[in-house]
Amino acid sequence: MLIVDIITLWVSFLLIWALVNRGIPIFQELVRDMTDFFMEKALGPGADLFEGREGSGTVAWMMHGMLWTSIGAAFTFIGLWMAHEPDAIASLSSIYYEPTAATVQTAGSNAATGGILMLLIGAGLHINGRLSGSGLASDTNAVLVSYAFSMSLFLGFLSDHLSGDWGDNLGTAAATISVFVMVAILANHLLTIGRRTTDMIMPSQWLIVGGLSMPLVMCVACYIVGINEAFYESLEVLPILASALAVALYVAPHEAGAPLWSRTLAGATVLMTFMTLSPIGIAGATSVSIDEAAMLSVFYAASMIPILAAAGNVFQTARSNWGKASSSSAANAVMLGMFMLVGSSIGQLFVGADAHSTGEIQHLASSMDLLFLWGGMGMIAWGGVISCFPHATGRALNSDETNRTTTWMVAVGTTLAFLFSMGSSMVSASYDAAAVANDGIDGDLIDMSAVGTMDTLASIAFYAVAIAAILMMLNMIRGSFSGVPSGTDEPASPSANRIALTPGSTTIRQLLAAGAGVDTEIDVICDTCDEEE
Amino acid sequence: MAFNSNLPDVTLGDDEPPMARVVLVVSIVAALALLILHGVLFPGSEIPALGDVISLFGGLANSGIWIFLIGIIIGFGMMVATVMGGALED
Repeated sequence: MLIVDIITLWVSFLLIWALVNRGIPIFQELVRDMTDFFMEKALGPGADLFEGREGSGTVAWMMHGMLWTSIGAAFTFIGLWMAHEPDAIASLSSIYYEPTAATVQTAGSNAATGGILMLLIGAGLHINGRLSGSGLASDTNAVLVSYAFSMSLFLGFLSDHLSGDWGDNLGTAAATISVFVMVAILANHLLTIGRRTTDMIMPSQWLIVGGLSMPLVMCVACYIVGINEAFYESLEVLPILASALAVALYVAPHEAGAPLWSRTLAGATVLMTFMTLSPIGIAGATSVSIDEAAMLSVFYAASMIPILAAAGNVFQTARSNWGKASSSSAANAVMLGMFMLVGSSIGQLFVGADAHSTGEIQHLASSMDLLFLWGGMGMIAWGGVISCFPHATGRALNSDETNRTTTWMVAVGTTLAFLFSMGSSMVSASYDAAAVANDGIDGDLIDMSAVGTMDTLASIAFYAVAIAAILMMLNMIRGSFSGVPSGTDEPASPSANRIALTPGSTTIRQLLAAGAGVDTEIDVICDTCDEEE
Repeated sequence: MAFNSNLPDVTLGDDEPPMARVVLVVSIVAALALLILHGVLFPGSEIPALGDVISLFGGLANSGIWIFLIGIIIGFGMMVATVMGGALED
């Protein structure tokens, strides 16, 4: 029963909330020490391979992530092109590479999803370490598992190209490795939060932990109570969606130099992300009854709340110090990403609900997936890279100009590719409907050149995204090798008009690094000061 | 209120657009110009593929996609070269 599954989801979230807040009574120290042991010492020579310098985990995840994002973008471009010219790369059959358009599209989509998830996880490692005040618990383990996750993406990439037992076996191996990696990353995050020097666990930290843990906990719950498979489809998107929201809620205030605008909206984002079901990526593979479809639709609609709340919070936060936020390419990328995430989520709501109903608008699903993955998740991941990567490496990215250029290339390329591919699929569906309604029409006489033209334009528009990913990868490599070391560059100008601080101590150096100048107004915000007085 | 500033209404700054952006804009304009020129000179005919322009690739590149794939292949080559260069330099 779906209602039992929903209650299981809520109980799971409450359990995670209680365990993260309270820990495990009497076993607390034992669990912490054992996890610490398994994270590094138990790995033996594997852990000795890597230095474990502070920030190296984030760097490894982001480097691997951008490489897979570049590969995914290249194959997505080829897949879009092959939609209108299936024999485009037929000449590669001379080296025994002759995939179908569907194979290339699947491989490209999976590689890109894995790559963008790696970027977001890399940003999440940095964010949790900073917000906890203690740094990441084990950078060594994070580096080690980044290679394992990259290997799982490679196996999955091969599996997408193979059929039969080999394809199935490689796919199973890839999925198994990725689950182990997620468990290791989750343990790293929990250990980091357990060592925190701050009192409060911030919304971004909740989203990171919840996004990684909820699908795992629900898998375990499945063995106990049995979960409807239609339910699983909604949980598949949770790690990438929750990580993206976590990055957005960190990058916007960090880049704007202002506090996150609303505590209530941040709380609503955290709570409703894990208490509703997302329609994103729903293919309707499992048939459900009409009552269950109605209930799913209600929860799909409710899942708009956290996305709208996060978008409102991000935009208002940027608005509170617009001068600084608008000049930051990281904040721009996140704002563009949130805007496109809202648009794609609303579209996905209709497509997802339709998947369990009449299936009349399923031809829009691939265009919506493109907008969600590259426009929403991709742009927010871009913001996370631009904001977090320099802090993790201790060096600035090679070129701010490349940051800005690639941000706009991804945004414009994705939007145009989405519009053209959606137009193509709508025209194609209209032709099909007309042919079905009029048996007398000879299908061969219908001029379908408009569809081919729009498919061509969609693939050419997406080419900008593929090139942007490669340029950003080059920017990261050059930055990590020869970028300007942090703290040695000249102070940015002009300075921020206003910087908000919480009570505590800071240094003039930190204020200058945050963009303060001689005319900057320092505003100390204290919610509990009046009560104490 | 009287406005008695001695400053001129308009002054010229010294900043210039980055060369990469200039090259990008000029490249896009040149590509559009060539596309229009092709349409005028050879109306109704397909855009030539790489194999039609460079006879060396005649057997391999028989689709327009290869013009774009060359850019992606060069990009991945630059990635490898940059990593190798950075590692050897260190």
